[in-house]
This record gives sequence, structure tokens and C-alpha cells, in this order.
Amino acid sequence: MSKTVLGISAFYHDSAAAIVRDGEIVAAAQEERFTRRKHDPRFPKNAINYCLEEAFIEPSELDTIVFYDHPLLTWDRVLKSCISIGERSKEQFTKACASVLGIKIWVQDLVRESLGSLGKLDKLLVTEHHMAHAASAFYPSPFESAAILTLDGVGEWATTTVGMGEGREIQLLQEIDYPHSLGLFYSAFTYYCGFKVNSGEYKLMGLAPYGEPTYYDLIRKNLIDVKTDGSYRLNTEYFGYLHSLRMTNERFETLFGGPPRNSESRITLREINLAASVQKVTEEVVVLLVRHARKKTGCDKLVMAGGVALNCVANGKICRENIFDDIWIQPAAGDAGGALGAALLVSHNYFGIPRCVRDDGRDSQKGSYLGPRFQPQEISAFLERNSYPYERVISLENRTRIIAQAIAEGKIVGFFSGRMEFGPRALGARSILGDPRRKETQSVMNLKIKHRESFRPFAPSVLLEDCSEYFELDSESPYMLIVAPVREERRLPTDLRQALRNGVDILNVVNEPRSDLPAVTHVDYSARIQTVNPYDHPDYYRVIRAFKDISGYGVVVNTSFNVRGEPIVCSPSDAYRCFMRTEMDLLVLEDCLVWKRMQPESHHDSTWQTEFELD
Amino acid sequence: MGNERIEDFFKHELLPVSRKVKEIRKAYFANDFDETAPSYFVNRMKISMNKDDFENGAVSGPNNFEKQLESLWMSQSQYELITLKASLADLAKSLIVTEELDEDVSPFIYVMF
Repeated sequence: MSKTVLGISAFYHDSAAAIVRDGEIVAAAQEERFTRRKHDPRFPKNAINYCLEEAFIEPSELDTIVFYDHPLLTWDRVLKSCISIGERSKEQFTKACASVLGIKIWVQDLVRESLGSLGKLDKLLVTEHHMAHAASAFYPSPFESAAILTLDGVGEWATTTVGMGEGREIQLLQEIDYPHSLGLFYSAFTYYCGFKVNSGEYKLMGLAPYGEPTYYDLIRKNLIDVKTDGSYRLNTEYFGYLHSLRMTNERFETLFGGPPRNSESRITLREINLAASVQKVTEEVVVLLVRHARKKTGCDKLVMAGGVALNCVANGKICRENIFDDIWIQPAAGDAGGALGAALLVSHNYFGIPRCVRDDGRDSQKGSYLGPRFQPQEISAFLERNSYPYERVISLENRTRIIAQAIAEGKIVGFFSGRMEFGPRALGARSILGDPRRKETQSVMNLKIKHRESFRPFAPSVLLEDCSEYFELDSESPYMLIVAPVREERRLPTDLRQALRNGVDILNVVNEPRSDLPAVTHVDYSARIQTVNPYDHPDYYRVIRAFKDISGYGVVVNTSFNVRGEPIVCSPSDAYRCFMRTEMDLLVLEDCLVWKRMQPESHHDSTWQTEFELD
Repeated sequence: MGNERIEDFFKHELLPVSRKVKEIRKAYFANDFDETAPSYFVNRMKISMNKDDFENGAVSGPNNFEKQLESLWMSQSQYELITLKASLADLAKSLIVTEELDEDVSPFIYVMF
């Protein structure tokens, strides 16, 4: 008997929906892509509607609906935390009451009201937060059995879990509970260094290679105690999140010599070295936890999820340590992936649907291309309706050659092709592409496309079979979740760290070439790699292949199709708007090519600066 | 109105329990390091989810909420919290809101901490 399950995540950050039918992922999408509000935490009505459409199903026909978090246990944690803190927790309690008691507790009623049905079971199921993360990591993985490690800010109580999966069974064996959290620990430094919590962690990670871990000992001595098995505890006297809406407190500020950095102010050596220090501590803890997971479970494969699993520098370190034979990380490792995990867990665990691991050794995540797609006819109708000039190139070979040629000439290309990605990374379905060989690509993409100054290089998409020519990486990295070094023979000598020590501004050294792939090589000669195979997104693979035929390089620059503060584009309309707000040269909307030089001047638009809150 | 009820609950219900918990030196979680502990891992009592776990998590109405809180705290032997169940259910009932989809920043973003 066929079983279709809708999974929902909401009310923390990055709400999302996913539909799973008989254990197969049918669709998954984040609400932010539809509402155009980054990290939208609200009830994902639009994402649910999309998933239902993709599955050709009405809410009443669903076998069940599952929420990814246990609201009662979340409230238990909030209440006990405030009772423990006492008088000082008033602000925290007031906020939490309004959100948890005001709505999250009543999620079943909200779903019923919003969808008009709770499915055939007529009851909302719930999972534990970390069970949903674990399920999102294990079930789509290519492994029959695996150790499971989940790490995030906080679920109900758990912040870190170690477990294992085998067949359709998942067991979580051990956990570390709130307020001790590696995710919140990292977020505290994100906040202190002037970046946004829940989105700026990536920036902190990108800043780390510029610095020296000069605060390492101070952090280890005062803030976090780590045991040999990787389990850890924080000294909560230094953190603000227990009793306020701030991540750090005065004691933290005293320890690190002053107040937090203002978000748009100059990044100083203090922030740079703090980033290096907290990254080093985090990597150490994660590697110890991974070693423990191996010992505890006896498994030779590892799967990971939770927001901390998006720390691709730490992931690269895990790979190089060779603790496990193979590793798979859920690309939507944050809370959005909880919707998918919850739906998979109910499918296999509640309904008992057998889990089928693919014979070819590949995963079941479908390249994470799980969102909406738009047919060429829809796109051309959209362009015609708005009188936007374009040319339709139906021949795939011709189209691919034109796109590759444009990239090789230094043009910046918006590439909109196939189903939208699920998860925070653009993987070639909603991407902006450029030439990685050119020294100016990074600054052009930053200033004229993304409208930002950035110390972070862009990511390379490299043909899977060519990866080892450019990077010291032995495994696949289809979801851009692993950082690995650029090969030594490709590197150029630099002394950027010395320049920083001498007081040179970080932005003055960021665009100095560091290899023959300057746009994708970080200051420590690392790169955040996406390997591209011919199966998951053949059209994207062909573009890179064609670029190689022209340039000799099987690599392109890939950054997400958005401007600063904007969610990644979802529809052709979003893409055209973003294209016109930037200095991209070519927009590829499936088989329609839209050249900037052909567009009417009146459509050029700079209102984005007031539309999106800067991240 | 909602904030007044929250403040009232905080002052007259939560803080007395907080004082009591401190008097009996009960802690729901540790705040600092334990040099003597070999590990900070907690071995989970429940390592997988069964059908009841999936089915019994959702809350349906304030009465049900009160019963579920009592059941949870009884199972944890945290009897000092049970006195809060009725007033918490009342508070929750008074706070039920329709999510405002047009707000620039959702208040629910703060739940994480």
C-alpha cells in the first residue's frame, strides 16, 4: 500500500516542507524561496503548496503529516531554563512565551486550519528534532549502515547526538544537552565578530584562514571543556543566550577585550584571530566526536546533519583524518532538512516501508534538485508577456557552447536550469557562473553582481573526473560541503598573513591571486569544492565540459543566484529581476538566452538595496 | 494584554518555583565544567521512536496541554513543576495567535535561544 508523507519544519529558522512517497523523496523546498525573505521561519504554506503540486496530491489524500520537532519538550526546555536563571530571564521568557506558547505548541491546529486536513491519520505526528536530523542524514545516504553524528544549536534539549542507522532503523545512543552546544558556541563568536547569528557563521568560517589562533588557549581554558571522547561542556557564565537575546555577555567581552564588533565596521585583527581560534577549537571537537562515533558504533561509514555539519572546513578535516571509510552529509543540514528527515523517518519507521539503498553506490538525494522547475514554454511565455528580448536556442549543443564561450570571454552568466536546489548552496540549478582563471572575476562578482565587499573567495564547480587535477580531494563533494586544498603545484607564493599583521586592510589583500584559479582559491590555498558528475544535472555538467573544451580548464566559478541579503532565486521572474539589478551579462533561463545588452534601459533597477535586509 | 499575563505568570508563578528549586539545590542542567567526569555524554534512555512517540507529541487544546505537561513531569519525577500546569495552560490559551504573515521579522526567530 503506497504511503505519502508530508514533513514540515518551521518556527526556528529556514522553514521548509518535503514530500516522501514510499520512501522516495518527491519534493522539498524552503519557504524563503517563495516569500523572498531570507531564512523565513514562518509556517511554510508556500513550500507545502509546491510539494503537494509536485506530488499531485491533495492534503486529505496524504497518509500523514509530520512536524520535525516536539513542541512540548521544547517548552519544557524553555521553562526549565528560565526557572534555573530566575529573575534575569524575564526578557527571554517573555519572548519565548509569545512564540512557543503563542503558536508552536498549537502547530497541529495551525496545520489543520491551513491545509484543511491532517491527512488520512487525522493527527499530526511529531519527531524529535535530532531524530529528524539523523533521518535526513542516514536515509538518503548510499550506506546500508552507518554511524550518525548530529550537531546543531539546539533541538528540544539535545544539541549533539551520536547514533547509528541500519536498514530502516535509526538509534540515537548518546547526546549532549542544552545549554552546552557547539552550534551556539560558534554562533556566539559569530555574533561577537559582528555577523548575523544563523547566517553569518559561514562568514566567520571564511574569515578564519586569514588569522592565527591566538585566542585558542583562552577559549579552551575559559569557555569550553572537552573530554577525550569529544563530549564537551560550556561555561555558561560567559554566554548571554540563557537569559537574554544576546549571544554573549559582559564577561565574554572582558575576556576578549571589548564590545562586539558593529556589523558594518572594519574587520580588525581581533575578529580575524578570533575566527581562526574558534574554528580550530570547533574542528578539534568535531574530529574527536567523529572518532568517538567510530568507536561507539563500530561502523565504517559516517553520516552527518545539523547546522554545524555545514562547516565545510571541519568536514574537509574529517575527510583527511581518514577516520571513516566514507562520509555522507545531508546538503540541507540545517533546520530545513528537518522537514525531509521527519518525512523519511515516518515513512520507514512509522509505516515500516523498507529502505532501498541504490545498487550503483550513489545516494538518494537526487543531487538535492528537489524544488520547482519551469518548462521552457512557461519561460518564453513570461518573457513574451513582458516584452523582454531573448533568443531561444533549442539545440542543447549550441546553447551549451554559447554559454561556455561567454564564460571563457569573462562574462558573468546567470544559470537557471532544472529543479531548484534544496539546502543553502546553489549547485548549478540557480547559480551565477564565471571564469575561475581570471584575476578580476572575484572582484567583479563581488562588487558588480553580489554588491558586497567580501573576504571570501567563490566556490569552484569542477568536473568529477578532473577534480584531482586541481584539488587534493579523493572523494566526491557533490553538495559543496567539503573544503580541500588546491594542488601545491598550482599555488602562487603570497605573504598575506604578514601583511595583515602589519596592519594592511583585509580587503586590500583579498583579490591577490593565489593560484592559477584565483577566483576560487582562499588565502590558505583551500577551496570549497562542488564536484559535478554527468548524472545529477547533465546540462550543468555539459556547460563545464564545454568550458573545458574552450579553455582547457574543467572548472567554473559557482555562486548562488542572488544579491546580498536576498534568498536564492526560485522563479524566472525572480531570476530576471536579479539579473537586471546586477551587471550580469547573460541570463540563461532553460533554453532561453537573455543578453543584458538587448534589454531596454528602463528595466535596469537598483531598488534591491532597499528591498533586502543586508546579511 | 499578552505581555501583562506573561509578566504576571513570571512574577507570581515562575519566580516562586525558581526560588524553591534553588532552595533545594536542584539543577536542571550543569553550568560549568566537571574536571572529574570522564565524559559529558548522556546515554539516552530511549534510543529510537515507536508509534506512540510519533502520535503523542502534538498538543491539541489547552486541556490536553495541561495533561501532557503533568504526564511529562511525572515521568521525570519533577513534581515541583506540576503546580504550574493549570496556570501554564491558561497562559497558553490566552496567547494563541494567528501568525502574522506580513511582518518583516517574525517573532518566532527568537525561539532558538
